[in-house]
Amino acid sequence: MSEWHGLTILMLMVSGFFIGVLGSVLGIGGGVFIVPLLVLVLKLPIQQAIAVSLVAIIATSSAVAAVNVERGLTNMRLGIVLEMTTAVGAIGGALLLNALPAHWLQTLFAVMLGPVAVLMFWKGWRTLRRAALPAAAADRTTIGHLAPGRFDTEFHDPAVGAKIPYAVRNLVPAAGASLVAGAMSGLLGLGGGIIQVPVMNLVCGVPIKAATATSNFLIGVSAAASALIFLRQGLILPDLAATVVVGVLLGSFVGIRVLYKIRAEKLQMAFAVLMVLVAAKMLSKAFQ
Amino acid sequence: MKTAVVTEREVGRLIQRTLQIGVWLALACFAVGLALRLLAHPAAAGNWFLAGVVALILTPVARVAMLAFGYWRAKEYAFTLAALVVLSLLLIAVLL
Repeated sequence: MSEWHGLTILMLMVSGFFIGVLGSVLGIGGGVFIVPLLVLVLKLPIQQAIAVSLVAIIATSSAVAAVNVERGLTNMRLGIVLEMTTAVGAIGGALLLNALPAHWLQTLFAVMLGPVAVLMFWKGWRTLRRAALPAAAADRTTIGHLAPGRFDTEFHDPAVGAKIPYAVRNLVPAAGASLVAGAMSGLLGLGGGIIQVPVMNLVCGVPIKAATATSNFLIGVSAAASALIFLRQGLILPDLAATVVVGVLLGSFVGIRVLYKIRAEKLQMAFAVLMVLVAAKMLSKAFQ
Repeated sequence: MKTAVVTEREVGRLIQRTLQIGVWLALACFAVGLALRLLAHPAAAGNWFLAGVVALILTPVARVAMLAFGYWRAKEYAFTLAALVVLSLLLIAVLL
C-alpha cells in the first residue's frame, strides 16, 4: 500500500466505517459492499477483494458476537453444530476460488446479489407490515413453547419486554443451508447470513433476533476457514485489510451501541435497490 | 444441565472474553502498524499489520477451542465433540 496516498487510506477507512454501521443496522456482513468497493473503485483483482472482505467479516462477526453472546441472543449449541457443515463448505469454496477465472467470479457475485437484494427487500417490507399489526398477532410467529430439546433455549427481548422461549426443529435443512453459506463465504467473500437467517427462522423456528445472532456467530468460523487458506496463498494484503478492518470495526461499534434500536426496514429496502445497481455494475465489468 | 459443573452462561462469558481479546489484540497490532507507518517504517509496519490479520483470523479458531473446553467442563460431551470436529476442519484449512 506504500504507493497509495493518504486520501485512499482515508477513503477506505471512511467507507469501512459506513459499511460497519450499515452491516450492524441491516444485520448483514459487509461482504456485499466491501467486494464491489475494492473491485470497482480500487480496481483490485476479485480474488484479493474476496480475501480482504473475509478478514473484515471475521472482525465484525467477532465484535458483534461478543455482544450477542453477552445478551444471550446467540444459540451457541445450534451454532457449533451448524459450524461443522459451514466449515466444510467454506474450505470447498476457498479451494474453488482459484480454479475459477475472475470474470466468472464477478458474474457469480453479481448473480448472488440478486436474491440477496430480493430477500433484504422482503425482510424490510415484512417487518414494516408486521409493525402495523397488533402486538399479539406480530409476536405469535416468533414465540414458541419451550420443549425439552438440547438446542432449545430462551432470550430476553427488550422490544417485547419478555423472555422469548423457543424450540429448534428441522436441523438437517439448516445444516444444508450452512454448507451452502460456507461455500458462498469462501467463493464470493459473503458472510452467508442471507441464507442462514431465513432458514433458521422459517424452517427451524428460531426467532429472527436469535437467528441473526446465531448466523453472525457462525460466519466467523466460515470466514476463518477460507481466510486461513487465502493467508497461506498470499491473497490477503495485510495493510489493505488492516485499513478496511479498522473502519469496519469502528462502524460496527457505533452500529451496535448507538443505532441498535433504530428502525432499519426502510434503509434495508433502499439498500436492496442499491445492491441491484451494484450487481449490474459488477456484471458489466465481468463482460468488459 | 442441572448437574453441570459450568453453566451455559459461564461458557458464554468465556466465549465473549475470547472474542474481545482477539479483536482488541488485532486492533492494537493495527494501531502499532499505523504508528510505524506514519513514522516512515513501512517494513516494520507491514509486520504489525500481518500480525493483526493473523490475530483476527485466529480469533474464531480460539473461540471454537474455548467452546470445546467450556462444553467439556459443562459435561456436554456431544457439543464438545462438535467443537472438536470444527477445530479439526480449521486445522485442515491451515494445512491446505
